[in-house]
Amino acid sequence: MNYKNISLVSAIFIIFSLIQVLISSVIYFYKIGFSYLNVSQYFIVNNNLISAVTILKVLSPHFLSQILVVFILSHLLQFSKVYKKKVINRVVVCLFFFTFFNIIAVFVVRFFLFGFFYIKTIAFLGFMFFYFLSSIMILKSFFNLSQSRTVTNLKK
Amino acid sequence: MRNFSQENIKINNNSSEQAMNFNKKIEFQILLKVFLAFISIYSIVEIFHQKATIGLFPKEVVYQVLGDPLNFIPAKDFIDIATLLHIRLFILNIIFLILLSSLNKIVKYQKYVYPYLINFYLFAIFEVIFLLSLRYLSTIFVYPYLVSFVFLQLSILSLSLFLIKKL
Repeated sequence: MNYKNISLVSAIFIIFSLIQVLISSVIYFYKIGFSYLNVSQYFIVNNNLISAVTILKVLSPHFLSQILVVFILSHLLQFSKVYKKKVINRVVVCLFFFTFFNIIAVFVVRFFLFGFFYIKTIAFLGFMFFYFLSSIMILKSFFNLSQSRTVTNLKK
Repeated sequence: MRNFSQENIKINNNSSEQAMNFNKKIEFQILLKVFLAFISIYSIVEIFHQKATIGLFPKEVVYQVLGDPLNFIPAKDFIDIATLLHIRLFILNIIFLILLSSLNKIVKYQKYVYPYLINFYLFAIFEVIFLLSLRYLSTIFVYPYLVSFVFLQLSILSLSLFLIKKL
C-alpha cells in the first residue's frame, strides 16, 4: 500500500469536506441566521411553533452524515505526529461534543429551553470552529509528513 | 524502557501483519465485493434519480432550474441549489474516499490512483460550477453540466466494476 497516495486522497477529502461545510454554513445563514431575531423566526412560523416532524426531517439525515464525517476526521487525526496525543484527544472530544450538541440544539431549544435561542448559534459556531481546527491540524500533519519524507530522501 | 518500546514494536508488527492477512482473506474480499456492487448499483440508480428530479436532457434541466415564466413556474432559488449541492457533494466525497483507498490497497500499479483522483474531483467541481453557471449566467452551460454528471457516474461505475474484477 502506498502511504503517499493515501495521505493525498485524505488531504483532498478534507479540502472537499471543507467546501461542503462552507456551503452548509451558507444554507444555515439563509435558513436560520445568527442573530437572536432570525433564530427566533426559525422557531416561530406564522405564530406557530416549529413542529417535531419538521425538526426530525432535518435532524435524522444529519445525525448519520455528521457523525460519519467527524469519525473519519478524528480517525485521521490519530495518525498525526505533529501534535501531542493529549491535544489531539481533547480536540476529538470537543469535536464529538459540539457535533452532538449542534444536532440536538434545535430539539433542546424547542422543547426544554424555549427562548434561549443563542444556544443554537453557540452550538453551530462551536461545531464549525472544531471542524476547521481538526481539518487544519490534519492537513498540517500531512504537509509535515511529506516534507520530512522529502528531507530524508534528500539526505539519502 | 528500551525493552518496553521493543515489545511495543513487536505488538505493532503483529497487529499490522494480522491486518495484512485479513486483507487477503476471502471474507474481506467478499465484503468488499458486495460493498462495491452496491456502489455500482447506486451509480446507476442515481442516473434514474437525476432523470426523475432535474432531468437528463438539456430541455428538462433548463425547465427545472430556470422555471417557466409563461406558466408561472419559478426558477430554483440559490438556497435550493445550495441544498442540492450540499447533499450531492457529501455523498460523492464519501464514495471517492472509499473507492480511491480501495484502489490504492488492491491494485499493484499505484499510478492508477492519480488519474482517477484527478478525474473524480475535477468533474465534481465542474458539476458544481456548471450548475451555478446555468442558473446565473447562460443556458449554454447545461451541456457541460450534463456531460460532467454522466461522466462522473460512469467513472464511479467503471472503477467499482474494475475493483470487483481485480479482487
